[in-house]
Amino acid sequence: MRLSRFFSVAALAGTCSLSLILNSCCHAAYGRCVRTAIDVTPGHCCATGPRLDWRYGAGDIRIQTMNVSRCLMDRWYAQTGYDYGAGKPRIVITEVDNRTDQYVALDTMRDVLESVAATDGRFTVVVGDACDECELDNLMAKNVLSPKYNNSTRLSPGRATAPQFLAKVRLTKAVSSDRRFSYEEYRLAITLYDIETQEIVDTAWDVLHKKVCR
Amino acid sequence: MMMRYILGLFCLTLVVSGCSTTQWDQAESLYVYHQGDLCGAKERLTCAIHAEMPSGDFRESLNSVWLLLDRATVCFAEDDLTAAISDYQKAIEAMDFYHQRSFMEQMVQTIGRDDFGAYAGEDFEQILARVYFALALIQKDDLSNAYALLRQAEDLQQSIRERYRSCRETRHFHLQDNRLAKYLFALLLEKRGDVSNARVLYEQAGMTAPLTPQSSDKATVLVLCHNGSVPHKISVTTDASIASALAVETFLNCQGVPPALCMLAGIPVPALTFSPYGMPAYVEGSLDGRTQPLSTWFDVGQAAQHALDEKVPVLAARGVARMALRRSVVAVASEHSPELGMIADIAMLVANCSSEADTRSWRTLPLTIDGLRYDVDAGAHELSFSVDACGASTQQGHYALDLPPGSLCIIHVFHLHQGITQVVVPDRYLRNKGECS
Repeated sequence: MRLSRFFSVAALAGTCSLSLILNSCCHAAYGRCVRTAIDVTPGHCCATGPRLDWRYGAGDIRIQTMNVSRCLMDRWYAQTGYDYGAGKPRIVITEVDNRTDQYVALDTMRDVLESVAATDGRFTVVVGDACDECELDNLMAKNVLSPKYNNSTRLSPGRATAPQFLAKVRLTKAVSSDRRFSYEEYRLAITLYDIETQEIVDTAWDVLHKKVCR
Repeated sequence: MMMRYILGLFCLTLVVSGCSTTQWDQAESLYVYHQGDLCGAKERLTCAIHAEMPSGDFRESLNSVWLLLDRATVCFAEDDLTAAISDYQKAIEAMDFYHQRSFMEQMVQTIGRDDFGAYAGEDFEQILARVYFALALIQKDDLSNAYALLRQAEDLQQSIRERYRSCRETRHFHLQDNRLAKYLFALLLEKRGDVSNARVLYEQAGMTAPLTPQSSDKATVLVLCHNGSVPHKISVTTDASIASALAVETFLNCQGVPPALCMLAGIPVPALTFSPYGMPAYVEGSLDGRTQPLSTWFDVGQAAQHALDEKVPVLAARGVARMALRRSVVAVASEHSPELGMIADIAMLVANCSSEADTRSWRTLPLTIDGLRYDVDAGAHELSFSVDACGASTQQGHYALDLPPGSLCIIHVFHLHQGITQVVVPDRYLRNKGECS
């Protein structure tokens, strides 16, 4: 009798589950959702923060690049009083130094930086990679061959022509965690160098804090 | 009423005894790959990928992980690095996505078959995917991102160990260290000038580090041989499971429950089998006349066996639960009428006989990854290697290299099959670009 009841219950459970099988087979994800993270950077608008992809990628880099480029351009324009109507300054990025554990394609960096430059409107950008010497030589050759940009980084008074900077982008990551969440900090720093002397002109960085469910 | 039961059982049988066509494609494309026809293998895999993921989204298919990894390795062996990098990136995203636990999926696997769930990759495969991705990036001279991937692999090993410790089911599990990942990570750190951290990683990898810190003028040449073919999974039913089922039937018969044939099918579990043509070859490398044999840096076959040995008890337990449910259906049907019980028994026998273990895996992996390192002065060098497989003629290759200071040149030798070898050399280091012998 007890066995009979056991078999009945088990068969009922199997029959109910059959309908779940048929439903579930239609959805390969089996109820899985795309993992997200929360932006918990101090000073960002919402208390809970906007939802981001849990992986560090183009979206995060865009947010940080906009903050950093705004800071650099605000400072440079305030110091020099330059009017970009005469020609926008050009930033030549020679190296993207990725020290995080996330793959960031150079093409992604190039697209993000160019879109940020277009949105800001006060500078232009050319993105290369120091690892490829041939490409770097081409970039530097543009400096010589382009009369508009064949100028010093430092502006001469009374001779306002569009200047050019060398720049490096560095990405670093720090992480801590508790039982439920990982707290990841991604730092993006852009450093501008004098194109003739290679001395540092200015640097700015932005830190993005993400809370990821483990 | 009886017709409804019959129809219900018929549907149940169809659902649980489906046969996946993609498994056939995997066997066919793998055969073509091991014959050395990389284009043909890539075409077959691309067709399978388009059929499984028409819009290119890995979430459309439960098999996206192994399909993408297989194709990525074929592209790597073919020196199509752009496609390989793209596939490795998607495969790793798919692994991360499908690695999320789903209660629904576990229930479906228990009721139906093991391969009704998504294939997220074994733990050692997850780490190897990142290592191969990093190797492809190094071939493209993207050392910065290769460093990121190897760091990710290192972090992943630590998080897997922590996960094993924290879960009761996996507390006794042990993840074998991937020495190749640590070695490559140490090598990139050394090239960056971070010698102290590099030395720590070399010691953890248990491999010989350079005796003295290398000057930035030295170039490093690595010869990596992807040797042989990893054992693939087959579904086996042990005699012990059939004997146990017979014992249960005898006990039930004593309690007045009519015996059923469906239990005689046993419980399928996965086992590994080695391909007779996929055994590793003896490989020697020679740079400027200095000849040395390659040594095994990572035994993929051993890692696969170890991972399977740890998982089999869990898979067997799931099989027992599945068999108990099906036996219950037969018992309930028998209570209504003997004829219905017989129909249910035959249906469940068909379902049990066609239920197989999950045999999906990343099958384009080698059996072992062997390596050899040379640290040389920058300039012109002559590299050669020989591959000596039992039963096949010795194959040799010769390359004239031109190495800049501080460079890292990795030569990949894919020993696919006895007598079939594919070599990938970075073009930028060849003295006569585009010419290989």
